[in-house]
Amino acid sequence: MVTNNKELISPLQFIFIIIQTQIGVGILSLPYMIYESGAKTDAWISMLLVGGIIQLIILLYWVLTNWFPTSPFYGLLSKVYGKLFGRALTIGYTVYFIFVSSLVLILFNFVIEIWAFPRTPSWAFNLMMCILAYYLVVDKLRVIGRFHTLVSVLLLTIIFLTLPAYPYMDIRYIMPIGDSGILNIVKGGKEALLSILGFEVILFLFPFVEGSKKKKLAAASIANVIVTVFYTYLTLICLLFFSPEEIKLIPEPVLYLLKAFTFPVLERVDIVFLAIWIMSVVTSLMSYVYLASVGLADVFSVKHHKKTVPFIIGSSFVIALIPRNSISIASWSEIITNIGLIFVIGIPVLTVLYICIFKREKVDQDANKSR
Amino acid sequence: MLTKVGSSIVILLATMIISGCWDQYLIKDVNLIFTAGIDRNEEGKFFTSVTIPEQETNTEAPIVRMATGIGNTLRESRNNIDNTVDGILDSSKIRVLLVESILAEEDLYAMLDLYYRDPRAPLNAKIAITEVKAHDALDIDIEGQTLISDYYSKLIEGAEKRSIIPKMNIQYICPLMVDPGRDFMLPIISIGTSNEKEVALISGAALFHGKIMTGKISTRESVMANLLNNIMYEDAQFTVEIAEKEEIMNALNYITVQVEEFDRMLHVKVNKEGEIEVDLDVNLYFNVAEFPPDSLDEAKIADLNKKITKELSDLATTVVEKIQAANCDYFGVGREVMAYHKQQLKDRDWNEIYPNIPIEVTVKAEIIQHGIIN
Amino acid sequence: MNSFFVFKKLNANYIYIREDSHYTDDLKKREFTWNGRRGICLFLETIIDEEKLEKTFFSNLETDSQSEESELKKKISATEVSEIQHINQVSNELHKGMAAVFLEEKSEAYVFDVKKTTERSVQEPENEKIVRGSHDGFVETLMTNLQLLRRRIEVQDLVIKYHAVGTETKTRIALVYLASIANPTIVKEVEEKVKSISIDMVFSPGAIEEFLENDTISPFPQMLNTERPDRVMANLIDGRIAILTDGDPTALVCPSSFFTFYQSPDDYNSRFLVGTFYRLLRMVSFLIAIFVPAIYIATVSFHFEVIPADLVLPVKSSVERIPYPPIVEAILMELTIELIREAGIRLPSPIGQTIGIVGGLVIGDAVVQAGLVSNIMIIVVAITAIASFVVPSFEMSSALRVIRFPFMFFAASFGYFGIMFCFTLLLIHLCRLESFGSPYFSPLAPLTWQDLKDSVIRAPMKKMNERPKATLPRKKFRQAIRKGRRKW
Repeated sequence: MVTNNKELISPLQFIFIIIQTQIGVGILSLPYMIYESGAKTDAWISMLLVGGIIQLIILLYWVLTNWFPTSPFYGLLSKVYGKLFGRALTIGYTVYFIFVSSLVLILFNFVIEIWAFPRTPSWAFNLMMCILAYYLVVDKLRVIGRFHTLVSVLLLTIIFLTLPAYPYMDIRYIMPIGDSGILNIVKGGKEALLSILGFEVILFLFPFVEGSKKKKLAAASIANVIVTVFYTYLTLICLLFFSPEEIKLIPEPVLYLLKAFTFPVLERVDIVFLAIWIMSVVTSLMSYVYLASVGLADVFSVKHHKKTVPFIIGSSFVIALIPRNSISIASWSEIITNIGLIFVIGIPVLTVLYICIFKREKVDQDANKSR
Repeated sequence: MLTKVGSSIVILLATMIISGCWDQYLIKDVNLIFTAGIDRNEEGKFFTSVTIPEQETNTEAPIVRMATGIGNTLRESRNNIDNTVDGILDSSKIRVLLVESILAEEDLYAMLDLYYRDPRAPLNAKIAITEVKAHDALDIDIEGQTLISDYYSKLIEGAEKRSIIPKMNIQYICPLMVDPGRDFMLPIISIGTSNEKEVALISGAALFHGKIMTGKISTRESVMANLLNNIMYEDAQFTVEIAEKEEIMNALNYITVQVEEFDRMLHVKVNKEGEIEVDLDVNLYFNVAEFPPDSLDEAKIADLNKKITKELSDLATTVVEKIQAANCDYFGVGREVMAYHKQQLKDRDWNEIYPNIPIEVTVKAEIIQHGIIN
Repeated sequence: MNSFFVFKKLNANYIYIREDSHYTDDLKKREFTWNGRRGICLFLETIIDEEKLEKTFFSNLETDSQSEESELKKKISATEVSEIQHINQVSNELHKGMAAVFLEEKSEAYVFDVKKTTERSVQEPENEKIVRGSHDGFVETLMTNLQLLRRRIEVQDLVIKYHAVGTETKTRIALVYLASIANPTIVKEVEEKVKSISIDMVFSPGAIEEFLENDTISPFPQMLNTERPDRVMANLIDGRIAILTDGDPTALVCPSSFFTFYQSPDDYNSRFLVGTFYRLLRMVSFLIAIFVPAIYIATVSFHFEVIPADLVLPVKSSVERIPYPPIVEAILMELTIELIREAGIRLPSPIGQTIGIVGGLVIGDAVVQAGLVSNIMIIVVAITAIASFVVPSFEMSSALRVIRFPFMFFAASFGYFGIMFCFTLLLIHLCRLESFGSPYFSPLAPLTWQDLKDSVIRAPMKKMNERPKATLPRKKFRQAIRKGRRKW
């Protein structure tokens, strides 16, 4: 599969696709998750740590895709591991992304149900989300880039909405820094990593970005910095506003934070925030559906991914319908995100090692061909 | 095939729209509670009173209805109220919550748990402690103000502006209630008379230790407490006695000053043995609001500065004593110690240390302005 | 079709043409003699100007000596006289407003133009009024319209290409563009699309638009409709293509983006701050028109906790006695407004105003008195209606009024989330929509900083150095010197 010019996205769109994929359902409960995992008031350090780790992973991705500059990741897999095994891996990725899509829907529904719409059946919201995802993903990657760029403005509103918290924050809540100990911070880092999964989209989109190799890397890094800063900011805001004892009680601190504020026109902004948050959720959903549908298209050698989108959306929708209570949602989400680590970090690392050891020459050939 | 999928989606959407509205919650179907008061009755059950304003048309003044209910939990008492009123009772627009002091002295958090748990709950509502029954406080007739909720919220906001009480709402006190290193104050409302009619008044501030009300201070003292805690909103005034010999005209014995600027320093010193010492310095810069003897020259101002400094130092010392006696860590000393001297604190219980640590208060007063006359 | 040559016998020609035009009664014959030879002149009296015919031909016959035969052609003082040998071609020409002259014993006909032109005077278009600036507008005659454009752009780059559309009507359509600026691929695309139209008639430019645009289901107009020559000129210079139709004063401009519909020539006449303010106001009006009724419905039926404390009682009291859910109220009032609007257009303007007053004031007041609709709903609907009329383009404002209905339905079923769903759907639609290869929602999606200068805001003239990228123009800069242009 050779990338044709029409599908290329600009580095700016690349940045925003990454940001929008990473910032999604997890945004509401991230500070709580990291806090609970043991990092306590040093949750923000865990967040920064994870930003650094992701930067390393991005470098790894970059090295890997540079060996095969023209082939997308799925094609790369079959080139490296041969048709059969490569295809099996592609199927693995596709299934993983389907499950992530349905997880996004499940978590979204869970929050919506307890916060705003207790009686509306979950399929109604899932259907709406799926329609949105379908409508965008069937189009070109460039259109997805356009949309993700456009709606990123809303992230600024999220920051704007947190401003009234400033007079009530107490810097002493996070003091002394590093109190939880390095081990706990690392533990929190693992939790944070799970929450901001989504950077794997970088691996798949590298070949579709315009510009030099360095520019692509710079774009991915900028996106990572923005996401890390954004999440660290939210974590810090929550840690400073809620006292350490209170944050334990609140699973969605970012949303809870807004409940106390009154604006002159709108007395309650939490519900407005939830509505804006839908946009973040749906953009992540779209990215995952896109990745899954491209994978499926690759498996069946379909030329355009738009034919596979309905199957991806349909299966995510059905999986998301399986009724669950809040406890099983938690374990469900833990299983999927942990498996995610294999796909997001494990396989790329193994591939790099494999290539380094066995397939050096082939890589050089490929790189030369593209020049 | 795709068109079939498409049309079935359209049909599904259409049915969703038609049959939808699962969570519809029309504003016209509900009775909005604007104020709620929580008391305990003789049997020890909760006695909740709520006011429900109603307005027929926009041009008429609203009529306030009051309803009460009894229950073992606050929810139960609310449900019992719901049995007595038409429509659904909705608490999402509560503006003021009054809690009787005997309940606050047991556990304030227990009164508020239902608000923290409910996504629609009004966490931005003001909360106040009443010395009388909260029901009586809600039941008073105020001339020219039909909405009791408006009355109380403006009463509290007015006190906040004059720095008598810190700006708090149901959410803001929550981190402080659970935090061992910081405590808070809430306004106390009692009933007095003005112009021979019953009115509610802010009679002071309730001191809290964690979730429990442990003491109270007067409004004059609470202004000082706020300044010592680095809080001043729009205005803060003190009236100080200054005359050595008693004048017949009382006003000549006093000066009323208004805080223009101030700075406060909190120094927490912890030595190796873990002994804690606190220095609380506050410099107050005043504007003279009322001083009938007039003709303020430098000598006189210097003299006044001294007298005011002394008076206010005494006030500050009493305030700190009272606050410490109530085990209310209003200045956040505990937070300071936990944040910067955690090793020295070791595993000792801060709640037991705090009432006994020495807090050295230094007040410096200085008049820097005197209005438009000398 | 078998074609005959012009007969040498005069009468045969006449009979043939009469038969060919199915014995239409307005075919007239006028006889004359030239150099002693008989001749006839044929024409359709309904389409020609008799005075013109007299002047160009018959009066010339009588003047000087009738010397040689070959000079009959010279007697015709029209700009173009064609000699036609085929009789059925002559017949075709007659139907376009020509007169044909046959001479005995001559197998050729002279055909020349004596068309009667009835045309409206050039005046300001009714629905695109502006405060300052040029007050001329297109009329129904293609030639006049092209003349108005040519007069504004006096360079050889201005290209006009004619196409005849309509298998029965043969309406003339002119494609106008600047060869040095417009992107040749887009020009080619438009030209091919115009050629591929095979419908019997061209009723209106709207029909042509539907044949040319990419997405016909979309509620958004993808070509700018305008009757203002200055607006067309500005767009031509930005690298766009204009399509003018004979018999209609509307020009279609493509490719146009969403923001083209929010620009008005007035913006450039006023100072940049003022122009920017009004342009932003129009953007806000877009948001108001689609969001306000939906937000109101969602708020009173789902999320009333967001209403400020002092406002909640008035809102509650106004909806208290209304028997219907808010969505029914809204639909009722929105439909009423639409009825008033539709009635107002069709009626002569004095009655139209009366309808406006009766509809607006009387119904509005009575409906509140009767307790059918709450007074806040009246305010909401009225604001929405006004906001939807702020858009300078009629097509866009109609689109807005249609779009807000799904918003209202979803707001009534899912509150703010329904609104967000519709909004997201709308944004995706706008991102996907393309007008002749240029993204419709540009410069917002894809984000192009330079283009924002003349779309969302109106930057000062000296800052607008570049043409909008969306039209993919061949020349990038519109000002020669980019920096330090002001030399004083």
